[in-house]
Amino acid sequence: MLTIKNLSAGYGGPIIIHDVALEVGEGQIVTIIGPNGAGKSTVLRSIFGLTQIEKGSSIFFHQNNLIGLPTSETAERGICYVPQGRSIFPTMSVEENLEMGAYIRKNKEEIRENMEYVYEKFPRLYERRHQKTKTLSGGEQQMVAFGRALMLKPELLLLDEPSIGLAPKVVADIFEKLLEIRKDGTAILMVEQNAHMALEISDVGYVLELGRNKLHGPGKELLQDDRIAEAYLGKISGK
Amino acid sequence: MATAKAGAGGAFYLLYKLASAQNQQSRILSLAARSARGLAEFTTSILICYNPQEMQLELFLKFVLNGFIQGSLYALLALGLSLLYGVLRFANLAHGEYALMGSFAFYTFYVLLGWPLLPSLAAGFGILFIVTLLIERLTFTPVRDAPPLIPLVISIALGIFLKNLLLLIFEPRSRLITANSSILQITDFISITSAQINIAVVAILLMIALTLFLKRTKLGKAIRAVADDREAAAILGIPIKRIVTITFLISAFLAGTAGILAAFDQNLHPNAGTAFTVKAFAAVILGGIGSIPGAVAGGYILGFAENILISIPFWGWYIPSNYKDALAYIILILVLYIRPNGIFGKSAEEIARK
Ligand SMILES: Nc1ncnc2c1ncn2[C@@H]1O[C@H](COP(=O)(O)OP(=O)(O)OP(=O)(O)O)[C@@H](O)[C@H]1O
Ligand SMILES: [Mg+2]
Repeated sequence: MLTIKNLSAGYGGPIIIHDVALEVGEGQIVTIIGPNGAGKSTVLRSIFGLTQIEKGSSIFFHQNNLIGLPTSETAERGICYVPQGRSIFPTMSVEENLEMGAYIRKNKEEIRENMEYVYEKFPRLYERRHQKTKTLSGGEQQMVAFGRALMLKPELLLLDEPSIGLAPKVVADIFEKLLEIRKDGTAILMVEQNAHMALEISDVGYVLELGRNKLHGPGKELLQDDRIAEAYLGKISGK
Repeated sequence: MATAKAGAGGAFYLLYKLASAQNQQSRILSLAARSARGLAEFTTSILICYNPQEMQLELFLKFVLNGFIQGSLYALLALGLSLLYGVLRFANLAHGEYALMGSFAFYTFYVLLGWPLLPSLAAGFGILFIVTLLIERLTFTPVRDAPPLIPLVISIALGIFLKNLLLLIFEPRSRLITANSSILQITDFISITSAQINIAVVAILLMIALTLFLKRTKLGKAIRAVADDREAAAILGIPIKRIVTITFLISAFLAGTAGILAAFDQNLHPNAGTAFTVKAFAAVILGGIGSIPGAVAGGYILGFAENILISIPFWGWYIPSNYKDALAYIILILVLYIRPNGIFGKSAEEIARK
């Protein structure tokens, strides 16, 4: 449903990513891995119109071209995005954050039902619903960012390093939630440093290096690939 | 950082005003004359103000009342400035001129054309809103992606432009709307006019209304979301441009209301905008820039400080009342010395997170 071809983009200066191609199918979980500065976040930001995209690039969601669409109109197409570093609203309560997640939805009844769905997924958020999010722990803040994105019942969810800075136990929880979310009908495109766990649950993995596609394939296959094992999984090849 | 930038902007504006005032005469001569006059005034005011008797309670209460009314006006001005800062991250140094545009537009209908009160208010605000939208389109929208220093400098120029426009249309003289302002005598010594009661009542009602609006309505929450994290808000589909325009209008409405309320109570001169801006700016910094309760607190602290400190004796000495304005700034400096981000300001840690 998401098809990226020949994507070259930057931030006004040098071009950061070159001719990137990427595909997410219905209900898939797709992971992008790669070293720091490879341009992984830049790919996600490009989908939301937060970069300068070069001519000749194409980003299609179903039949619609996303290039040139203002950032604030991308969500209406059914895509939600949790940027790197969470970017929740710190002075607003958990519940207000969730309400803002549903800003473009009109039906109050549906919004309320969706909020219950999020609270069911993250009971911790229900306990803290009146607390300002800046006073939450890192893991709880990540839940808010997640929950807020789920308030739109998106077809596609973009996640930039959902597990960063979280304890292994919490990370496992989050990945379990991802599987649940996918079961409820949302496809996921994520960037992860935690390559092993991410590829484990991914239908497809992409490796990005120096702003270019390096290789891609089914998640399980990439896990077996020596080049990846050496660079991203902390294993020594040949063993 | 942002506070420092805004502070530098304010200081630059003041310097500019000083310099342009002195251009008219030979600078050195006028400087010498000023110093001599200042020294003379200082000595006489001290002589007059030495009063070894006990503090007069009535005098004190009178100044508390004055401080409250003045503080209400400052708080109202500060609210609009602070709200806009929260969303756009720049202090609109033409804020005082927005207040004056409101009062002079209202004055035109109410006094010059003799319309009744409510239609005059509607027409006055209508003009203020149209001008606000025009200004936004022509000056602030084109630089919306520039660093906040750019709109800050633009607002300085805008203030000068609007002031001269007002001078051109309304001539450099003071106006006062005296329409049936009745006086309520509380004691022999303390009285309050209906215009002053209006200032306090309307200001407090608007503060409550604004707080409820920001806390309870979807639009109000969206404004807070944009102030918290503009990019995250855009990602969720919140229409940033429209939110910015609405914030400009609310800010203009609060400023215009303050201007109209003040026009019933004190002489209004097309030059008065700077004084409004500076007071609002000081109140906002005092309370912590970007904070709504801070703006209210800052406004009242400024109002009380200006009025009360001149009413109490220090070892038998009174501070001369013509040092009112200077006192406000001494308070400002002292508060910032203890709490650099203002009373309700964000901590350095929170600012660093942005
Ligand atoms: N807003 C920006 N303005 C200018 N350059 C940027 C901006 N964001 C990222 N870059 C540059 O683009 C390059 C790629 O950054 P990007 O954030 O896409 O990498 P990444 O693969 O997500 O890295 P990480 O794993 O560290 O998050 C970097 O060299 C970075 O300096
Ligand atoms: Mg990144």
